[in-house]
Amino acid sequence: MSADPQPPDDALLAMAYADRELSGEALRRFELRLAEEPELARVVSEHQRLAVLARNARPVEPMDPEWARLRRSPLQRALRGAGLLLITLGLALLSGVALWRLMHTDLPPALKLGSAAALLGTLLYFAAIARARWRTRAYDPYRNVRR
Amino acid sequence: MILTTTETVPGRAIESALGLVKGNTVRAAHAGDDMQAWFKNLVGGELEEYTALLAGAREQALDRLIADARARGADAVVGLHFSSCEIAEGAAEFLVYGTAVKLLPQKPV
Repeated sequence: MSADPQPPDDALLAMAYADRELSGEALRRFELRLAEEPELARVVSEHQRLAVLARNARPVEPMDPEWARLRRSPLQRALRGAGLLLITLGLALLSGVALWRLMHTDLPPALKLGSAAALLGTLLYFAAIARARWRTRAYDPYRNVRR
Repeated sequence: MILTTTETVPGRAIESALGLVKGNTVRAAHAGDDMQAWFKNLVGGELEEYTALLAGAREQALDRLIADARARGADAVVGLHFSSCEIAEGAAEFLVYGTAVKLLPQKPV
């Protein structure tokens, strides 16, 4: 029978950092590495997430299992998915039609160009914000706190 | 780290006060959660998405307060207060503050 393998040094350091047990030079060196190593930052975030969940461990409320069943229910998921998809498609279609109609009106070209630029700018700006959120999401340990 | 809303830590003597420590955050729900909450407003019940949003904000603010207190070498934070306000619609802002203190060593029993 063999003993459980020890976690690698980085995993131990990440745990110690998440538990705020590092200090002085060790803390400074680890924080410098965090800025350079996304994978290490992700591991720390995972330990922080577990720490937050452990801090909030509490008895299950009678309603919780029903919420969980609803989240797993194929019908519930299909209804929500279809609803969200139709809303997104509808909004995209309406935006496209509105832009197309705008381009085929007698409005001055400057107005058409300005409207198209504003719409495109809004989309690009949103894309940048959504991209930033998508990239930082993995490092956010507070997403799964229930109550 | 001992966190307490009282002005002292029961059973422990305070050696020195290290000053105000605080942690705050503003977190927003995504549009999908907002939409669900809006519809739940029509039928009633707990707005689970916002409960979770508020809880996440509370824990993040607390973690920042603890980090602030540790950076000052504190053993405890006393007089802990939670404060919330609305800075943006649909977002949860949490401010946690208190006084960081150094405790005298515990006397052997």
